[in-house]
Amino acid sequence: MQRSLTFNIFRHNPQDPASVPHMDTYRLDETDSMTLFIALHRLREEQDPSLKFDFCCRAGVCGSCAMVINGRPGLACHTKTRDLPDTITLLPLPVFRLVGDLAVDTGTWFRAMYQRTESWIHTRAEFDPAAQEARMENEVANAIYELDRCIECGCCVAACGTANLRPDFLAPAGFIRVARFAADPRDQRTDADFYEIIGSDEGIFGCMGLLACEDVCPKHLPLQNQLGYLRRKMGLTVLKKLLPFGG
Amino acid sequence: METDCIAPARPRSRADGWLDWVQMATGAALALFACMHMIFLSSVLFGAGALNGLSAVMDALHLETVGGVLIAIVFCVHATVAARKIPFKAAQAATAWRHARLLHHPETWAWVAQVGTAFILAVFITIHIWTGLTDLPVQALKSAVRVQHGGWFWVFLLVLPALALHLVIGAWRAGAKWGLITRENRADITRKGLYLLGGFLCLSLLTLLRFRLLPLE
Amino acid sequence: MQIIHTDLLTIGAGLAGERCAIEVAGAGFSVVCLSLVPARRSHSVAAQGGMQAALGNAIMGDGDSPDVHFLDTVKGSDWGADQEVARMFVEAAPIEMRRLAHWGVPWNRVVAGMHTYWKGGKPFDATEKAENHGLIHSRAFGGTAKWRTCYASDGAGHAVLYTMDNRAAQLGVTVHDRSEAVSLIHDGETCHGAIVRCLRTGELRAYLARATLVASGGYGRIYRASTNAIICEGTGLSLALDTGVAKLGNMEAVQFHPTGTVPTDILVTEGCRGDGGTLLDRDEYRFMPDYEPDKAELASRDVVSRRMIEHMRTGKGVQSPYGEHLWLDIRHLGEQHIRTKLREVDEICQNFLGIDPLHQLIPVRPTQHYSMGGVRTDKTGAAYGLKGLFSAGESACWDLHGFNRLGGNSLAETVVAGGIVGRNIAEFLQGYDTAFSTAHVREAAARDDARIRRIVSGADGKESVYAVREAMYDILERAAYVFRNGTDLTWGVQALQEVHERAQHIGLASDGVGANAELALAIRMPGMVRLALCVCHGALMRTESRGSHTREDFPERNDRDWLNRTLASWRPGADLPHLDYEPATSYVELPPGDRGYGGGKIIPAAS
Repeated sequence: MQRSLTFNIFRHNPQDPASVPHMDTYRLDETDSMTLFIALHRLREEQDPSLKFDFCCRAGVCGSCAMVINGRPGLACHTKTRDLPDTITLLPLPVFRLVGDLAVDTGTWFRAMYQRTESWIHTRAEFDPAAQEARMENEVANAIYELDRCIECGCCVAACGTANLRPDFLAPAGFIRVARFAADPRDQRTDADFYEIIGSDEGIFGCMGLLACEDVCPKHLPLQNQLGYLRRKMGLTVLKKLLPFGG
Repeated sequence: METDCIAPARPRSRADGWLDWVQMATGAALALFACMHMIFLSSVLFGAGALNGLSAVMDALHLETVGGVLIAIVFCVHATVAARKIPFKAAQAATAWRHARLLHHPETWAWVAQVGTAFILAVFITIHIWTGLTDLPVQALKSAVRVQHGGWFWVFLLVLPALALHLVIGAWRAGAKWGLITRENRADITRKGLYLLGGFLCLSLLTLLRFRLLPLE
Repeated sequence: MQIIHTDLLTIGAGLAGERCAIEVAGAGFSVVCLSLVPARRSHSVAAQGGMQAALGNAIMGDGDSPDVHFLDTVKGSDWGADQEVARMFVEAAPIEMRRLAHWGVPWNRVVAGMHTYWKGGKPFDATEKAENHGLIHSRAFGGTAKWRTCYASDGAGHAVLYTMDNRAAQLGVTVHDRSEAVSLIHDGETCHGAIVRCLRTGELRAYLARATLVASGGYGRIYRASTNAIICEGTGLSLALDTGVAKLGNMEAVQFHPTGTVPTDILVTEGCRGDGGTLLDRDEYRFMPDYEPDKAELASRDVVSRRMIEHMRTGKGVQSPYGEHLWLDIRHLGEQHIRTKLREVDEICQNFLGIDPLHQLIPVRPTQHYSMGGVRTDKTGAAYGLKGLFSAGESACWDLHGFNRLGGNSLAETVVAGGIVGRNIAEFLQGYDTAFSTAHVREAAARDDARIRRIVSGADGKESVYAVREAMYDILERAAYVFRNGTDLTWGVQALQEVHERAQHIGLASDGVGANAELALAIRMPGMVRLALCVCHGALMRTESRGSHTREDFPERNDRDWLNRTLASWRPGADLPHLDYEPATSYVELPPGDRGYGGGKIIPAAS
């Protein structure tokens, strides 16, 4: 039985002075294997060419298409209409700056995050093109990869209570980045160095433990466990400073 | 070279780390005290004599006075430190409320509940400590009079569930924040937390009822 | 209008663009990367397989060397590759993999001892050497003599791109995302940068650069069904073509993959067929044995694609709202196999199609996968025809891949070529001076601005951009897909010329204000049709079959007449690309011979 879907979509074009934020309603007949990627493109091409949203890989690996789907942040490209009710409400991710309708500026936010976390390997070793690569245990490589899988879609940021309240919060995506480098033996930064980055209320101590990040992450990254790990690590770092023999 | 860095200056202070410990430690201490306080009062379920006896022992050891003063201090510290995380500005409060309504996420609602109960508890506990400490020692009859006169019963009926919620949610969130609650054991601990909530509520409401029904003579 | 000065401007911030940028920034020059999307969303991120480099650490790659890699690459290209470039590539690849490891890529590593691996759907045991424990491991990939593909779990592209962008951030490389170059600033001899449109606001900006790099990826999205990200519309290539002097090489060389899923064209691995998956038609009849009695579904990628199209042409395709397709059946492989060895396939089916491959058939069709053609450069990465213009990666025709790219070579090319071309650009910038003419900038910006205004106002007509694109899709699907023939191609060229004319009359249905996708596509559309014409016209002229270019009417590989590279340029006002040809390679290490797969007759070169 083919359904007729109703889409309530947030509309606002910040570049148009006459534009005011509002919701528009569209109708579309559902087809087999329909995803929001297919539905939104059909809406744009058949009904309203001014509709703004982002897609890129459309295969769940690039993180472009995160939006709030019936209340929950998620990737539109792998959301099947079959799993949604007849009425679908789409909003742009909060926290990020609005580009237009469902499109938000995640690029600027994440670039600031790289600078803040210094999202690169800190090492004094120089690369020697003539030498064999430094050895690494495969388990370690897999553990790093597991933390490196973040696709920077912004779902965790949008779902985070603290990030919604304070724009300077590093947010789960920033913490998982720090965890990735903390797990990498090639990065020579110490706990004290990481404390400088995340040892504050804008950092890990601002996390309120609501776990919405864990629940919405489309890549199922181990956010909950890693955030807990980082808080203990940073909490201990601050305690050690108190002890006469501490680090 | 040009960069797009818009990050704030790096934090240099260790205060936030400290305050985070203090918040959790004072919260844990208060939670522990609240549990003991309630178990102590619930001895009234075995009769007024049981409670009065216990109270007399503690009073003789000056536990009630010293403990009461200490708890008052811990309470003040906890309230002050924890309040840092509450969105007091109207715009922030609105954002938090909108966020919770949008997300359909139980843990986020739980946090809203914890903030709400914090206000109830802050007012009540301040009064409760004052009236309690100025009227030592604790005696079944005094408590019963308080519950049976002047509308205190209804206040307690509001405050006890608020306390239970605040305490259990707080403990759960501390576990989540510090990583004691993990992806693997989360469902299990959440269920146990709900049992704890139920148990705390039952015991406290039974105790309240007992005071309500305690013959004043 | 804002004018931004820089030493190097890269158009595209995927792996090739950023690798170049890092090299140039490391040499002390300023670099700005333009990107349609935040850099880490570039299509490089989607490559799952890995990068080929002859490290020879894995037991199944034992005895591997750049020489063996070279043979595989040149054979794979059907002798269309530039052998000097291929030689440079295979020698540099292992060093580049180690460099990436140093920068932070979590390559999988050798674990000493016995392991169970899979080949052709069957498990076997092999013992990894103890002395190689902890070195970079490699896995199998189609068309190679040795296991040579460095990988990071199931996301090599992701891991490398993230590391690359980290490195770029560390060196202070500036990325301007949501920015699209709409034309190159040049005087017919020297390239001076680009006019760029901000995709947030719609404003035009000018970037003046001493060197400009096109690293914008492939042009797969001129086809309706493509495994490429939706941004791979070949914009960088059409900018180069529009200069009238730069040349595009081998545009007819387009690779197809037999099993793209319907409707979203996500690729499911050939491992499905390797492990025993079968192809069924609308009657759920297994048709491959009728065409290929020996190998059936295990025939090579291009053969299977061709047979699938052939079978659909007999009316046996399955009709769907998303067009015709066939079925891939892996149900009989069993739960254990599907949920573990084919986990990625399982996830694609469940997440994107909403079907369970254990109980249901997977809708598939041959799908565009890789474009070998691109901006023709010399071995240093310098584009033909314009000083100061460079290209690297999938957007370039460097020419490592010739007429058929090997899996794993393309991802490796992005970083290896990026490194080599980047060093060359740094060398070029050292002591290179040029004079920027403000008149050229003003003229270029005014021309683009006027064109955009006419599209928005509908001054040239009210053609729907989506209708024009559909027309282009239809033509390419019939004329320049897996199978090509003179009749369809002749028709295709003519039909595309009409579409090209229509593309000049596109007018918007929306207001075009701000981040408007209709306008962005409308600006690109005429260029995309010109690329389609390069593909179609080049394919029509090339009267042979080589690599992925398959002519039904000329099934032989003709080394006598066609051991060369097509060069397409677009003269101002023309309605067809101008084609000329150059020898495939001037340096010959491996004389033309049989590839050893794919079959087909060869007309040898006159000696």
